[in-house]
Amino acid sequence: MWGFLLRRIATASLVIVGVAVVVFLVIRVLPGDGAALRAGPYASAERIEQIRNDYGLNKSLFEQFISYVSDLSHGELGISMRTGSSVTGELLERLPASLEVSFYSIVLAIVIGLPMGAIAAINRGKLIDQLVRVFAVIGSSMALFWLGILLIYLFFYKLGWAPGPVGRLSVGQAFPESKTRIVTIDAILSGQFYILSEALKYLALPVLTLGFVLSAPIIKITRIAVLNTLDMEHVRTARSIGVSSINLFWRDVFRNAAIPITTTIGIVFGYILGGNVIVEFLFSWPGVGRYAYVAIQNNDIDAIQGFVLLVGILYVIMNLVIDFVYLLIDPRVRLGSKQGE
Amino acid sequence: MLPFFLRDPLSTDVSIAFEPPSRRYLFGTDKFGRDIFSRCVSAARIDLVVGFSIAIAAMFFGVIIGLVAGASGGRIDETVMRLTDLVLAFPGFVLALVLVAVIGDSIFKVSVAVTVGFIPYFVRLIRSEVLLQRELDYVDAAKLVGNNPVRLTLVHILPNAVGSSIGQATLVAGWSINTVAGLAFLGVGIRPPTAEWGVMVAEGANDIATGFWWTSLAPGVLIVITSLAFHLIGDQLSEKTI
Repeated sequence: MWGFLLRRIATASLVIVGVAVVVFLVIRVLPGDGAALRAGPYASAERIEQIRNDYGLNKSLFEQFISYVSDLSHGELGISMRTGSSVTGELLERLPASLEVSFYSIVLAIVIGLPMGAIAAINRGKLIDQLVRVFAVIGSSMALFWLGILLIYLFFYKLGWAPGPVGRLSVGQAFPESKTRIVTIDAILSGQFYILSEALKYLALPVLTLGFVLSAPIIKITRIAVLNTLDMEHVRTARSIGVSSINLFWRDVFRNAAIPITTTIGIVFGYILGGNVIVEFLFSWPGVGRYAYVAIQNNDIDAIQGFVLLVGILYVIMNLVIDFVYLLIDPRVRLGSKQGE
Repeated sequence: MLPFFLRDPLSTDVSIAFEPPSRRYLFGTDKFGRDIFSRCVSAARIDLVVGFSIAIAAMFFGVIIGLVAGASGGRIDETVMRLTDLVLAFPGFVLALVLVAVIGDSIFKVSVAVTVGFIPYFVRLIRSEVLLQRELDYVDAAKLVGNNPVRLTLVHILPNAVGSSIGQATLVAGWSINTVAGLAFLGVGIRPPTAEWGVMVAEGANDIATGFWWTSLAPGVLIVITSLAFHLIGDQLSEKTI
């Protein structure tokens, strides 16, 4: 078990190094003049030259790589062209907002996805199975940005149930005393429950948008995984000797189905990191996705570089967490047999 | 040359701005008085072609790389697999977003950027399929009668290994239409005034606030329906071949 853990952590660190190298290559080596890109379309030749000097873009690629790595080892992702401050600081300041909306979306997707997938599998071929499959296929073909627009139109403009897409709290509402920068938690910690309820209202639409789209792969894989385990011999035997359905489901079916489902949740994490850019743009959500959007609109290359690095590193870490979850649910991994790996 | 039932997707006429859907303007007109139906139809040329091209290009390169990796094994295989891991370490949408930001906007460049993220899917699929096929008897037989490794791989293994990639390619076509439209919505890649579904949804998004819901409705529905169609076909194809 410990061997498995250590090996996974070692691989993950290597992948992070690889991610850093790939980002460097993409940003510095691909065709396109880095200095001209940073300076923008209307810059003079002198300004471009000055930027080339300031950013060390006139040095050899190797020297650039060395200073890039030494910056990274200090946790420095670069200096934003647009604001002139540290990209690391700006990203960390915005990360909690993104984590908040991502966390609730994943939870919603799992809460919708698991039961729907399981119910569909148990009722294979019946009407409810067909309905769930239609729901899942619509979810996986849905364009995130269009769904967001539809929900804003319906729930804000037409019905007035949800607040407008203006961010985490209404304009002018002070944020609760900041401990975690996650508004819902801060509100609970400081006992300001009216802020909590407002924060939840503002979370509703972005979470619904992401959660619906993310639930589709979870439904699909849960349905298939449960179908497969229902066909397994030990489940058939248990059924035939009269183990009650509920016991059977939790002990035998769900534990076996949990492994592919966990894998899919890992993939969903990756999707949410990309989807956040669209959702945060739509809902004026002050997170890292919106930061990336603004950076791209302004050709703020170092901010973009910082964002990609952050996303790559987060994704690797999330996959590591998924590996730990395997440990918890799969005895083959826990007991160190080769099969489980 | 336009078909007889279409108006010019780019011609503007402010006197007919924001016409609601009617028999004359099937999907209504937008704030510049452009006919949304005509724009949706000409956008299909871009979106469908881009979707197909990305799927075919990703499959083409993925099959070649996966075939080489699976057939040669050893160090080459190891290197290729680590490289695909690295590409997969980035969420596809973020990778495409950044690549377009660096290499610049154009329909071609955005297609290249999206293709890169999808290549590893095919590499993995083909490689595992090749490893499977290599163990089968017909491959031994083909070796025995004197096929050289290149001929063995191309003539005997490839046709048997490529089946599952076709279902995958159909799914990728659907995803890439969604991705390209999503990028266009963020103002990256394909830009206004080009008639493209993502661009049109982005342009129409602001009109919703003023009650003109139809400007973004039709292009959005088209993205979802097209993507849905590819999805259903891809699912069927994958089920059949696996």
